[in-house]
Amino acid sequence: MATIDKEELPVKEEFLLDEKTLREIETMKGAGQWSIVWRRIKKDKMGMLGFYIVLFLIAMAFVSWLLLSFDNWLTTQGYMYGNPHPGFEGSRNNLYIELWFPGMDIENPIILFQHPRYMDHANAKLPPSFQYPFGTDANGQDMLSRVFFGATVSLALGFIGQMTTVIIGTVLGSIAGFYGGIVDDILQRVIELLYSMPGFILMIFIIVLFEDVNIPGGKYAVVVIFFSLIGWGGTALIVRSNFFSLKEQDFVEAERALGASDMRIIFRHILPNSLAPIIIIVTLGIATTIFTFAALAFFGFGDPTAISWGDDLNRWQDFLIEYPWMPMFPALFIFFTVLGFNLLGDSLRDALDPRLKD
Amino acid sequence: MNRPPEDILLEINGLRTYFFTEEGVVKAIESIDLVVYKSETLGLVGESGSGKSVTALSILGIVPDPPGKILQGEVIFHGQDLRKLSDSDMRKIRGNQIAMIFQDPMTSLNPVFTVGDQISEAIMLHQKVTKKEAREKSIKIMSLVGIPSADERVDNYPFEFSGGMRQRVMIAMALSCNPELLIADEPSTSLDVTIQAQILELLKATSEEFDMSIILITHDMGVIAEMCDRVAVMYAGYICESGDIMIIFKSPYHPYTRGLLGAIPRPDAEREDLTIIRGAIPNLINPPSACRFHPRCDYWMEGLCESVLPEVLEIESGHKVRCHIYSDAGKAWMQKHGEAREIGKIPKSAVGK
Repeated sequence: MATIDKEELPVKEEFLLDEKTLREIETMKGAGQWSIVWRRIKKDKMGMLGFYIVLFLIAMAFVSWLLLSFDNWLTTQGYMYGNPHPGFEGSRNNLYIELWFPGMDIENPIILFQHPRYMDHANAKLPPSFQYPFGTDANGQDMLSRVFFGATVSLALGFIGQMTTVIIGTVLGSIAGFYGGIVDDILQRVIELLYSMPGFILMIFIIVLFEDVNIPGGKYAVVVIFFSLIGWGGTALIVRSNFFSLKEQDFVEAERALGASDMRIIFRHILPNSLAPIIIIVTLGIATTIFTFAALAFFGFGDPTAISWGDDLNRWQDFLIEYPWMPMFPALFIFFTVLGFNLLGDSLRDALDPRLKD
Repeated sequence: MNRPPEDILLEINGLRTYFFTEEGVVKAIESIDLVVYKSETLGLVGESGSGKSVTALSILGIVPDPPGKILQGEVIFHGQDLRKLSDSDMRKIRGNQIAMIFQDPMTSLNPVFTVGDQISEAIMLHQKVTKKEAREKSIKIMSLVGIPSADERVDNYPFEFSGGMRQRVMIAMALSCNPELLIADEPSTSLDVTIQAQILELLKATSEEFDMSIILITHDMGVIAEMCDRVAVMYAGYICESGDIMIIFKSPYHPYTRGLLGAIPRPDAEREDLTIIRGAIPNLINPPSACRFHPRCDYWMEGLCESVLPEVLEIESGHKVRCHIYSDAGKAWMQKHGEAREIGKIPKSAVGK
């Protein structure tokens, strides 16, 4: 008995949907807000450039953080592998990447990547070369390594500073916007008070004031805490005005009639509706925050013991004419970070605009 | 028709809600007395701005504050005064025992969550169920309110539904906790006529199935005639007439009710101009004194209606009217002035105004 294999049945050509239609159906299926936003960003070339820059920098910061923590762990465990200069006591680390070809002197491999704190005074102030692509600084530290490992602190400061700022601003702004009245009045006066003071100078003042305070996280912890304490005003105002229009929506009343509490309505129902402006604030704000911290470090109010772009920039700013690579590379990376986040933020702002239809 | 007092589900006595705005105090509800019996449909009818929706919000205690405030009165539900309950106790009643559906289904659903999430949330707010059980229950209740292929539609966002389907979702949310009282605030106004009929049919069917009472707020007398057992007519913060639907439609006692009914086109009646009610609803910041209807009333008894507020009179069992035509003061006025005021016979002085 002959069985009919269903797959071999001839399919009429006209019933087959072409690739393009199939793909369209596929995209329509998941046409949630975020897939629409993603599609719009993908169309925007500059936005995608920003997205890739940001992605690259985040990956760099994450990888360097992992490597450095692994190295620190090894060091604290007492494992010291392959210290290239065993006699040099100044180096208490073993992180480096060496290149060795068969036939080369096994005692002197080419070192591609040094630990950021490893000082090789014999090789100080070297211009960019094959062995040191970004050159070395006045202490004989590998600039490539400094820049690579500096990403962690620089980006983390931007993220943490901006996230805490936005969280404080969002919580206060939503409560003020939802309840209005006296709560809102108090919040507005506080914001006006914060805005009436020059932020940067206030930051410098606070840093100088707390210079001798020792808290876990070092000097930058103080900087971040005060940055978020004085910087939440803008976010709060935007979230507040957003809440003013959203709380009049019928679904808020409907939710109340279902017996939801105020806090539930604020944070579970209205807040997700004002997520779009918050995302834009975060993305654009990270650029500004990184810039602010780099500027603080540039003026000497950073943490000289930290490995960060701003501090390196501050340290070598006087060498700009003689040894331009020393301040240039950290500055270049600050520039790219700010550029990347700004491009992505602009693109996001356009993509999240509901008045635009694609 | 008067049902025994133990059949009373909700009783409102002397409710007064004002809005304290910057322009002045809006006296939206002056004094409302209302009774809802078990498993009946009560129609609340009146012009726009007569305080129907504010009454509904006052029952649930969700009048936007500021600027709104319930000043006095009691809302007795199952023998307890809802106004005396704490906020958290009140939240347990909202959505659970008293649910509400709103006029505009296009804006009453949260646009960023799927309808399944929203119905599940309504269930989980009041019942101790897992997320999965709540979801299953949502699907069940969605198919109950007539949403086709509910198990797929449960994951859709509100913008993927039509207006009628969204109103069905709203009804599903309201029904999700088997409420005893459903307040429907113009549930069909923003829908087109065929969908209106479907939604009303659905409300009627579910009210019978769930054995719940409905307060149906509308300004459409046709909807009232179709749906309700009893009707209460509101004007500018007062209930001016309430009673059995048959009695009200057959022989309205209050001039305002008469005016409303006269404004319905009737295909069966011989061609006749529809009557109108002169003027518009007054500004409630500065409402007319005493009987708030007197400036628009054809039967205005000068010197009486604007100075003395008529009492609520029970004309016959279950049929209450607030009008001077039937009060002792009114009868004294008629005798004194030698002018008769009888409903249906517009006095000569009012003609041509």
